[in-house]
Amino acid sequence: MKKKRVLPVVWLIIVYTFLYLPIAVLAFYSFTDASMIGQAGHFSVKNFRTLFTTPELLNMIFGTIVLALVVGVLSTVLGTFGAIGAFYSKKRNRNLIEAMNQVPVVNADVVTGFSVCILLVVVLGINKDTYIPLVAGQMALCTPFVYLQVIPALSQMDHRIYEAALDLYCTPGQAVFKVVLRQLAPAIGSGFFTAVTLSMDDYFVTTYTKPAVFDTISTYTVNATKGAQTEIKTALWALSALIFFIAVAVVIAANVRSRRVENP
Amino acid sequence: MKKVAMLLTFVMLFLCGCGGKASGTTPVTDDVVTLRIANSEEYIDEGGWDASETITLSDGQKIRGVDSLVNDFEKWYQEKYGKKVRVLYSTYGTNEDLYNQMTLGNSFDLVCPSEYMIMKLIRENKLEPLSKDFYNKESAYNYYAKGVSPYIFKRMKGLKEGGKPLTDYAAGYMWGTLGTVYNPSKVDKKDASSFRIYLNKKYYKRLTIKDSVRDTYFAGLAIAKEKELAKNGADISKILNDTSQKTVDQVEDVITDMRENAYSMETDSAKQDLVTRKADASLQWSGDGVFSINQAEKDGLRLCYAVPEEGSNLWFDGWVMLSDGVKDDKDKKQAAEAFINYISRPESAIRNMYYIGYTSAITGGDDPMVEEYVNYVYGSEEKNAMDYDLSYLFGKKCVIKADPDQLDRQLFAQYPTEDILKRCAVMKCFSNQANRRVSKMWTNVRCYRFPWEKRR
Amino acid sequence: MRFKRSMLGIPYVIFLIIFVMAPLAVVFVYTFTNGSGQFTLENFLGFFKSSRTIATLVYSLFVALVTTVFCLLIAYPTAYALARSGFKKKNILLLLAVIPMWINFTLRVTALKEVLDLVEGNLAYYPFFNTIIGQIYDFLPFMILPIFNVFDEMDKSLLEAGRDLGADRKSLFLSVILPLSMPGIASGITMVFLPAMTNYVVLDMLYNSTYIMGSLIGSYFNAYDWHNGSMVSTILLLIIILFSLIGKNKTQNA
Repeated sequence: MKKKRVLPVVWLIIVYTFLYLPIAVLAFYSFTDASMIGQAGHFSVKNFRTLFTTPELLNMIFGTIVLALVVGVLSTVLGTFGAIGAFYSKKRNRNLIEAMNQVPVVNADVVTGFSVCILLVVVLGINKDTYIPLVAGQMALCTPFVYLQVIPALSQMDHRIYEAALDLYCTPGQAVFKVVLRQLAPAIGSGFFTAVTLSMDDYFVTTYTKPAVFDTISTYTVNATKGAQTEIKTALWALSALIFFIAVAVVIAANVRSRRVENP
Repeated sequence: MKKVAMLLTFVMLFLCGCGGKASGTTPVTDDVVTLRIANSEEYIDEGGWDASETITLSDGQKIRGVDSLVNDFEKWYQEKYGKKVRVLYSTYGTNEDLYNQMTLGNSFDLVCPSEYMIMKLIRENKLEPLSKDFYNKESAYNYYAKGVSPYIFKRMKGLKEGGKPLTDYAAGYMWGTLGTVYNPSKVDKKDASSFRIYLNKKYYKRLTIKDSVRDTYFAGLAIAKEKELAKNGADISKILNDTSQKTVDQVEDVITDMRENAYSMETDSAKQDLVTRKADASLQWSGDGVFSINQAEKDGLRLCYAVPEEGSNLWFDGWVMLSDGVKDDKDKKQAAEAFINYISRPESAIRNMYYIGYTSAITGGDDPMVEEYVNYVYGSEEKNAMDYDLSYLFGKKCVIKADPDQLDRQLFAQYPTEDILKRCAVMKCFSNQANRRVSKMWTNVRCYRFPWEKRR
Repeated sequence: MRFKRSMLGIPYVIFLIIFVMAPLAVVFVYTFTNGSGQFTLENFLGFFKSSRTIATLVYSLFVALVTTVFCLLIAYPTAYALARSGFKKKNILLLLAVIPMWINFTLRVTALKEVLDLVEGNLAYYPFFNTIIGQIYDFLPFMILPIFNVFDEMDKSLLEAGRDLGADRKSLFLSVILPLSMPGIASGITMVFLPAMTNYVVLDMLYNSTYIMGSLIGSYFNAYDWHNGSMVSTILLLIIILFSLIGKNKTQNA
């Protein structure tokens, strides 16, 4: 019988407190009418009201989410097929692909954003307003991570299933879509999740490639923290609190769902 | 397939929803003139005033911004010129952002940059001169010519680029000074009235300076050249536009000390930091100063504004037409100049000043409305009201009876006295070499310095 | 032509070439050219001649080093504790460690700034300390995740074998656990070190006005100085290459 170890639990509590305390403080104050953290205030939901009624903020949030989803889908598709293709290629080709794939992973996103902007906007003269630099830049950031999630799943997959499907008169297209992808589904799912997360967390690629009228949460916050409007500042607190609650809700839902799967 | 369709719909909706900022309500048809205007953010009256915000002047006139000035202009133009105009109004953060947008593909017809950017655009032949009739005071709709402050006009005319005065190209919009907003309970007025405050250890880490090369260079330069400025008959404009390598090196040391002494190098956060009492003084433009003082008042904090006495900066923003936009298009040029004139009506100037808090270059000429407005905001009937002489600015007798408290606060920030402006120089556009020198200096200041490195 | 699964990879290869390799090539070209298009080493020499910019490099390396070391020290036991906890809780707790990334780091650093401000009274007194805290706060999840993955997949039987062979906890750790977790540590370091050298937003928000390598790129970009911006990027790339070579060396020797 192992003794229940206290130390790991205590350590985890410390670390999670460190991670969540600032967000919790912000969330707490977002429910008050204080304009400064540490200032006494009364309960109020006016920050949330501002958040949901200011067109500027709503546009910005909507833009961030849509961008993340678009980039997520495109990166996942590209990265998944890239991984499948690379896996079944000659060793030399695969190594080449993986080397190129590593570049955005190890590179600083400042350099990724800067280099994409230089090529597309300065050299090729593509207008940022077409959103092409933005989407391409973010895809360059996210797709390699999708690739890195799918490749291990490919090595654990049973390849004979593909051959079996072909023997059963499936077209190669059907075999890939219905059989291989289904096998890879969990990895593809977590790849998509990673891509969306990276897109939402990004600042640098976005700043260097975005059109002038577009803002994501990151670019907006960086400009807003420089600014003077208290309402916007406190509305952003409400935004943090909101995302936090949504994220926790998602986690709890996932927890409940996985419990249901285990105990039908 | 379904997923792809959904995705495409998303993308389309998204692009439609977030596309450009177009104001103006006229639909596009063939005989509509499209006018592309770019201005600083939050730099024009956007209307939507509450009924309670209506300004009632002493002669009974009421001013209220119901609709945005841009929309009002479109209606006015249709009425007076019988033609339809559609305004595409967009904004930018800084002059550099505007230049950036212009270089990387956006085109505009009418923009409102700062004086140094106007000089740069003239140098690069990007501006269309104002028409000969623009300054004709007899013309009914030439509100700018009739209403601009003679003093401001004179100073603008005195600025030349390539031998041509700025007034050939630009119509003044807003103007102001560079100074210090400070908390009088923490900072002496005497300390605040000099750029030296930014080196003063007494306020260690409680001052903010600007994260902008030009502004902070100016402040550093004024400190470095203190002795020269104090001499009798000093050519203030020449001293405060010095960008020689030797001077740049001197200023580098000054700014390094300023940075060390400062709480932060800000672009816009000082207003917040003053109100939250994190900072006691900050380097600010007069317009931002008025804004800060107003904000602080709401929080029960009294702030003041001071212009350094050794010499400071007079800045202005002006409307210019871009030749790429309006060249060979008579209709556009007419619409653009009409816009400038509409903006320069006393009523429009008052609306703008009320809404954004800066000081308009329009004093109204023969029209007393602007003077009435200044009285409305700052006039005092009290016995202790002091005389505040603005005749130099209005070009006619104009003395405001003002609350003495205002003499170093909003009134002073918006309408400085003549003796202050005499010692304010306009900061010209840097030459390319000067730009390189100053940029390098700025990088040097911001980079880390090894502890063992000796000061120059 | 017969359909081969390897053909599925072609779109991605094209993408990588256009949007990853070509930009890098352009950056290299700009690094070694001047305004008139001639080959020059001036950009590089300019960087290494000025003690200011060398100091910036040193400062950035130092910030990145301290950040990475502390992230490692915090993340390693965290990942270990997570991996060893009960099965159901594990995934939830892991998700909780990753969820902060959804709240963009700018919002998180804003939150951190408020807390630090409350605690310290005046943020500007401790710029370096605040910077390190800020960077750790930003990058900790990136360090926890790969190390956790390694622990999660670690073959528990190896640990048992080690114990059976009479190893005590300390040597068990040093000779079994640590070497096996190396890939995770290496992965975590890659995800943290270079970004910590270049994320200047954290410094800006925490009122540290000293430039790091990323700030140089930003300022050159705003001045349309593509050559110097590319030069700084190239230096950063050289640093990564150096590190990955050292990393390969170490894993080969292991």
